[in-house]
Amino acid sequence: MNKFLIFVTRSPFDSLNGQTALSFCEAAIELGHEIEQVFFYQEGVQQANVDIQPAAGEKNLLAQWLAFSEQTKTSLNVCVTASIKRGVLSEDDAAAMQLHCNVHTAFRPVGMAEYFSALNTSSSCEPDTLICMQF
Amino acid sequence: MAKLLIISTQAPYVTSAAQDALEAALAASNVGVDVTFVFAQQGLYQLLGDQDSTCVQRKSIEKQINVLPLYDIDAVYYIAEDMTDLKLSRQALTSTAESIDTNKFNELCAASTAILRF
Repeated sequence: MNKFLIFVTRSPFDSLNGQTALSFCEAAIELGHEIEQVFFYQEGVQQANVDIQPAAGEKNLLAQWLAFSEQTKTSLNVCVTASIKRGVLSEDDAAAMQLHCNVHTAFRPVGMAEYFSALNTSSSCEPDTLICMQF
Repeated sequence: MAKLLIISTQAPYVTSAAQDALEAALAASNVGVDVTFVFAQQGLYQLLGDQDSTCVQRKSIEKQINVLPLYDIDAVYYIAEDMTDLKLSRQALTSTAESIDTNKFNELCAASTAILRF
């Protein structure tokens, strides 16, 4: 069994990267692997944006991430610094700026240290099974 | 300790990629990850000296690169072949980054726990 750290850097409608990442995660779980966390950075933070409305009949990737997270209990971590710059605001940031929160509650706003600490810990404890994937 | 290789491949200021790569490097180094930073392809334009970023009201990428060693990021490289392809000269690039060939680059990739490409 391998343990995966997933890093998503593109928004849901400008790129297929998010869909590819999700499909990869689903396939990995099905094959018995573990997804330690999915981390959203750069434009990838838009995957957590509840204000994005897909056109009628188009896939709602946010709903799919939510279903995946609920079924597999996988952490969805969104970079707070990258988010603020792109108008994707957590509850705390929105309150501080007197704007509305648009990060879905299933996504956890965190610093980048969250991803790199997991990388450090996993590479020390399970160096042979850790695989990092960027989408 | 994890070994992270960051490959920065885009010109500065045109997109946020150069800034995002540097911020990722600092965050990783801050939690004890061993960071190697490589400039490749158009990313070598980030190394040009005397950048004036005031006209685009952005932080100077060159200045941020030059302080990487202060954050324990000493392994800063650029790919020599890309410098030749872009018709840049070694003298035009900041001395913070050292030249490597593609063989050395391949070795760095093979030795890394994780690779992030921006």
